[in-house]
Amino acid sequence: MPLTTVDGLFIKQIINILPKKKEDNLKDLLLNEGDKQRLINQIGIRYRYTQQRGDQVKTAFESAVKKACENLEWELNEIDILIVVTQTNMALIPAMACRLQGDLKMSSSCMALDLNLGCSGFVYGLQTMASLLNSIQKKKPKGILCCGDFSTLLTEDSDQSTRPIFSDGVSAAAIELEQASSATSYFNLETFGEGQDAICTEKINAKRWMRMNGLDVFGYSVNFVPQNIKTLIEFSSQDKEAIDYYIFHQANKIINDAIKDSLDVPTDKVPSSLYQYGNTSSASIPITLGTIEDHNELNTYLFSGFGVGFSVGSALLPGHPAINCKTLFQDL
Amino acid sequence: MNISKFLSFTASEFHCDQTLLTSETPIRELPNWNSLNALVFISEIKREFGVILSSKDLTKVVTLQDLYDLIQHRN
Repeated sequence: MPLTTVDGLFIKQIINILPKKKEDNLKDLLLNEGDKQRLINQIGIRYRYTQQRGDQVKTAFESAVKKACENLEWELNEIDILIVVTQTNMALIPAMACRLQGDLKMSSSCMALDLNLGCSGFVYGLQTMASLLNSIQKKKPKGILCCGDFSTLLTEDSDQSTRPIFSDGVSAAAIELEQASSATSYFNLETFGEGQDAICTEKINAKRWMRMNGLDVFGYSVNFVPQNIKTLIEFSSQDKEAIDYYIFHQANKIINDAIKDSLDVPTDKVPSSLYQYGNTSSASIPITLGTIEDHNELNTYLFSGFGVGFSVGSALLPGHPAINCKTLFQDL
Repeated sequence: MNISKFLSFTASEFHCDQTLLTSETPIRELPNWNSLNALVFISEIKREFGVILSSKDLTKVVTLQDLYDLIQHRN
């Protein structure tokens, strides 16, 4: 897709939901001591949050949507568009967005759709949401963008390369498009489908398990993500120094550090939630946003998501009001 | 970098005694060779030599000499 812009995009509120059950990679019995230390120091992940009850991802999405609307005093039936980015709708059909629209008793005039994307999904969802809201003939159309997965449903306990990486988590972002605003957001969405096998599922005895080739995910990430971001910044004509936060998908420390180094960005502009929360798929950008304590009144945010596909998307939101973002824990 | 320095680099990455390694050591017999440590190794090769190796590259490589030659060829 070409580079794109949308005017008047505002993220009004984000609610992230993680399961209460916390696991510690230092206590993971499948790894030897040396590997545990390497996992924490070099992959950067210590704690993971894991669902305990099977297919509860919908319950987590429902809580996040309700809480975000409640905080903004938005009525659920005034939501124009509901987009869900997930790859762990274990029902496969119907779409998670339709299930949520029905169970939350949202208006039938709500357009509800799923996007089958993972780690790039927050940025892809944001661009899709903004473009669709922009086409609605209202002054301030409203949308909810849900992102996230219960990835541990797809990872085997015995798989030492994926199990210690992923947490379960979801996010709901309440988005408004102010038609009268001239605040421009910039997007660069790309796909490198030759890397489709780097992360995929494999069917074994009627179950599907995620397979991740860490070396190739590293290769695709360092080859394509920095250039995607550089192209976006150049396209926006924004001063690189004016970017307050670079919020990357939380893949692992090796990949995220390599991207940061390629862009020559100071560490304090690149918040990380890997140690605390691990890789939470398409919810990782919102979850990382939730770890920032001192947003300025106005901020220039750069988001970059990359992974399964191999799909890469970056967004630049110059001069955006501080994003109100909270992370909550729930029995799931 | 010559092969001797590459062996020293590899020994330091795998926290083993350099005298245990020769150019004929198969990479899959490096101490604690697993997917996690391979990723760390590949990222250090990128940092040190500016060469990004894929999993396909590694399937073609048997010994440390093969790996050294591939990096030199790409560099």
